Amino acid sequence: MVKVAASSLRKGNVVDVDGKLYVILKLENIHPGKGTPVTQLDMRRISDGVKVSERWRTTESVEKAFVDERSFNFLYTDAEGYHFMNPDNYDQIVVTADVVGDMTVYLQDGMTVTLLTHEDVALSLELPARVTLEVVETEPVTKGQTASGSYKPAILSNGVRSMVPTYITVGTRIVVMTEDASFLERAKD
Amino acid sequence: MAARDDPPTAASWWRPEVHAARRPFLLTRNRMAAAFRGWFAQRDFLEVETAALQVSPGNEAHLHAFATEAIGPDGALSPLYLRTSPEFACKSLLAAGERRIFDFARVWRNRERGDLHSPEFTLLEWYRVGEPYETLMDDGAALLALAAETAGVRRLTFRGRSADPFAAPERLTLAEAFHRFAGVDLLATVQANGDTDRDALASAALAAGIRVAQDDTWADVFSRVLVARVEPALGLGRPTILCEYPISEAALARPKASDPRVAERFELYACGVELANCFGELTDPAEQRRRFELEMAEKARVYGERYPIDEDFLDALTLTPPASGAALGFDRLVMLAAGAERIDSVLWTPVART
Repeated sequence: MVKVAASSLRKGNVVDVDGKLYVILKLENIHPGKGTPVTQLDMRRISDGVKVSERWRTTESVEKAFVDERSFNFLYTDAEGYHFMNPDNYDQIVVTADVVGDMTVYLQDGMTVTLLTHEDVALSLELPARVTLEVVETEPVTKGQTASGSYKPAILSNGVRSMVPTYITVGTRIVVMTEDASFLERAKD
Repeated sequence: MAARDDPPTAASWWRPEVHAARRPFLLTRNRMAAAFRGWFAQRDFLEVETAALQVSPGNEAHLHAFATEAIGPDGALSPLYLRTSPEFACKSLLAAGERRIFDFARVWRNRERGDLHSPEFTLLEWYRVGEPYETLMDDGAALLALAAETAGVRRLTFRGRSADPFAAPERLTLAEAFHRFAGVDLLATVQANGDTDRDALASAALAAGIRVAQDDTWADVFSRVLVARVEPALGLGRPTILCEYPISEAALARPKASDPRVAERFELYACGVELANCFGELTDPAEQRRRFELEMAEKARVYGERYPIDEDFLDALTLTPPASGAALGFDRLVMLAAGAERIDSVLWTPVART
């Protein structure tokens, strides 16, 4: 454990509040009308998965727990959960569905992700920032449309919806940000 | 045309495809700036451009500045700061004799970054000599309507919340808001001379289910209740004017004549977002010095630093006539009118992530 200011916390950090460990899901610093700034957090209690929200002064000192952060490769999913392997020592770890959440749609065979673990329990998963997916459904290109600034809805091969430039057609492989499925560029492969 | 705003992890803003997606927001921004300039010109306001480099960046405990050094011809160094608001300069122009001015001021605030905060942003300030701060309430409402009209929308929106900028704003005092949204009797913890009762407010907050830290001051507890319960409930459906701040929360505002526990300060909210901060301006130099010293003592206690007091500004205050002044976060209003989720999406070139 180490004491840190609330404002220095980040998503994925683990904090100890009254002897219980929580993983931070979302965090925002709020500066209300020149008043005392406040760090507002959404957290998940590790022992039972209950979600809570909390507020600290940005300068308030908080107990931050040490966590391991390391790359794992995705193997498969079954009734037990999501199985990953440490490529250095071939150790496997099972991650529960509530940790994976809606990131599940982006997991691909062998994909390298980052797992945060505390005493061999996976607390959070971080996807690669970008993935390549195929466009499976979108309006056809109509005459007169160019590459300037307008977007249309599309459905990608993992079922996720995105907005793509009008010149993109069905079957095109594109790079999207896993954070919000936003279009980045046409895949170069 | 669907405009799109990307999260901070996304690609650089200058990539042509990213820029093309952001461009509708930026064009809305430009149209709004032009419309606002026209609105002020029609009302006999002069546009002023005040200096960004100042002796003091502002003297409020929780505002953090960017500091620099001026190097004289002899190599001697003197500290200067990038302003956190154009307020000192504008009030000095009122001392000089200007009656109605506005400034599209680029300002800088350190330690602030997020969806609603950029370290560099545009504060639109305007001042009216000899007019009450209630006039600024009408100005604020008119500018929200003009923003929506210029952007071609009927409602302001943010994170699934919306507000009708053409409806008259709801007016709530801080006391009413604390009572309504948290069941806290705020003014019971403020004495006639403006002194505050920390323990009374802390126990009221605890009773309302809001955690309080042992070393919280009255102002810290006030902020916790405001952030947890009050702000998210403001500006829903129609804009809200939150007014009559306790005097200790209004470093540059004058006390209300009928109740000295509160100041002539209001904030304008829409969709839960703070858009503008407005004062009946404090023009008493001795009282202003006393409040600056209190603020800087608090800054030293919490952050271990203090900013100089601008003596030339306190001199100018001796000539500053009674006036009211407003500061509107222009970028935030662009966001709400254009439907952007992040302040960076409405900045032509966002500040680099550090």
